[in-house]
Amino acid sequence: MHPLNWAIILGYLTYVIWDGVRRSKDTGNIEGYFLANRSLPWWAVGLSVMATQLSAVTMIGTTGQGATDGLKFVQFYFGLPLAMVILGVTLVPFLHGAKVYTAYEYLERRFDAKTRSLTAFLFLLSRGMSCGTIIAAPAVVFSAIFGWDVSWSVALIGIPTVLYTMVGGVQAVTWADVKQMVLIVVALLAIVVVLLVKLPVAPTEALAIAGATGKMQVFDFSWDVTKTYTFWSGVIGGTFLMLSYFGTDQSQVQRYLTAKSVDDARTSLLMSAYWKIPLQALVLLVGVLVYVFYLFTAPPLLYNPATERAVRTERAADLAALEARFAEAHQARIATAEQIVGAERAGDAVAAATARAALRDADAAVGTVRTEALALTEAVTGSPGRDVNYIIPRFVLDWLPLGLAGIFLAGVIAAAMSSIAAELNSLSTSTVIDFYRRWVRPDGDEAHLLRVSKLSTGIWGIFACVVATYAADLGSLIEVVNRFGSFFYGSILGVFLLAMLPRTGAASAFVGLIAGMSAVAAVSFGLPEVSFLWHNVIGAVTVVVVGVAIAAVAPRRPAPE
Amino acid sequence: MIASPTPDARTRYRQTAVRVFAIQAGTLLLLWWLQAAFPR
Repeated sequence: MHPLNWAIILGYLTYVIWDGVRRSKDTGNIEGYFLANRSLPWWAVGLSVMATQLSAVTMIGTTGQGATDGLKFVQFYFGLPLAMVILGVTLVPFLHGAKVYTAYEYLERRFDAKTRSLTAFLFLLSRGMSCGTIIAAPAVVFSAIFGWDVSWSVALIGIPTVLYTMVGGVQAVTWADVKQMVLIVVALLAIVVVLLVKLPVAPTEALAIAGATGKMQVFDFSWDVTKTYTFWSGVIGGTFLMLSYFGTDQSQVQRYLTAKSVDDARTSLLMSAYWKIPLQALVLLVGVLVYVFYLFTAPPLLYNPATERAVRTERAADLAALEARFAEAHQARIATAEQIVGAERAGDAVAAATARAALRDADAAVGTVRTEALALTEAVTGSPGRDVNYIIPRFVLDWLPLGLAGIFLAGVIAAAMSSIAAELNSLSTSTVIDFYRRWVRPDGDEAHLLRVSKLSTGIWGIFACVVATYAADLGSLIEVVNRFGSFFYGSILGVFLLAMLPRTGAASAFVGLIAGMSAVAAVSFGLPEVSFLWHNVIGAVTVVVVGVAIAAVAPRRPAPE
Repeated sequence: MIASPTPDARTRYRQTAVRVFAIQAGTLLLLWWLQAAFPR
């Protein structure tokens, strides 16, 4: 990569660390360190909420998904605006008004210490692991592209993040998020502009070509609960998922607890309600346009340069044969794409329909060769040949003009850092507030708790970096933890819903939580088979139904003082 | 004790919610138009 691109990335990293350390002077107590003394404006909190949700996976994985599957993934977010509006009148005023540090702290006030500790423990377990995977996803891609050991990529992303989060607390996290969100949007818009300039056809013709292969299909109104992305799973399952994520996950709750008023907290969430779907559509559109770009420009057969090198070394003849077939299939596909453009320009609807069908066939032929090449990769490397996450980084490095590649890669690092920082900050908050101060040192003074908070942030940071470095080896363990995490996400939402109902007590919450997790575990193992977006609905509804039933038969005992 | 929102705040929030849903409806219509304008 050109030195100017490296200079942009290093400049960005240096600025983020300097700015984060500068913020440390405003964090003299734990309320300042964890909640910025509840003083931040809605727009900063709103951008921080969005930056936390948008990770590097969105920048490289979701754009890649746009290139392969088109726009339909946007349905995943259809429930988000409704969830934000509901949270604005339910959990946000409850949690903000209760002056808590963590969402789980509120559960002790409403139920008991057991419910608080269990939910906080489940949060620490799942977020602790997911923080590692958030670093690992871009780190693995960077390593493959630049030929580094993965630990260097982990260090490049992880060390600056841990530094500014540890020293500057939530002030540093939020103000870094604001700048990182701006950088991310600039990087995405820049890549769209470059694509539109580089494409040999007009934007509407590019969309017509993408549409021919089904990439402009957004809506699927099927009620099949085994399908992952449908309109209904997005609207219903997505609403429950977003209620769980924004309403009960400390990594998001802590963002709006820093807002200076309930109104500011609400407005900060509504920023996502307005902007998330258009932003996600833009992310997927980048992928769609990259797909069209590679229809007219010879694409690589394999996008992951590291595995490509390995296959070229060990199975050179097989790879050369596949490349020859791929080039031939690609030429045939260009001809069909040009037919679509010709028919569109002539306004010939019949010819356009025929050309669209021809493009689908030609695209399938290209896809067949790609599938064989990926199978060859799997045979050589022993790991799954999927290379969706490499499509966009490869395009960026091969085709973006000088400087813009550096801006885009800095945007990917920014997206990773903003999510990691918020998670480290919230992991530390829950560790200190829900466990250390609650069980170990309830009488600890401010200075002591502040030291422990910084130490805890650092330890979680090191833990996340270690998990990220060994993510490939820990693959099955991480999958188990993620799967386990999905068991209780909706169930924790159910506990918070119970908290807002009258007459429910600690027994309702605890037994309901166990029942909800068991129900989700059953459907996760296919009894019956239900796609994951519905799991949160099942978990939350089971908790509420069981909890209300218990409240009806068992009298509520007051929570212990 | 958590303070209840004032009637003014409630009206403001209701108006905001209506605006959120109107914008979302507009976004979905735009996506629908894209799907219809660029068919398979």
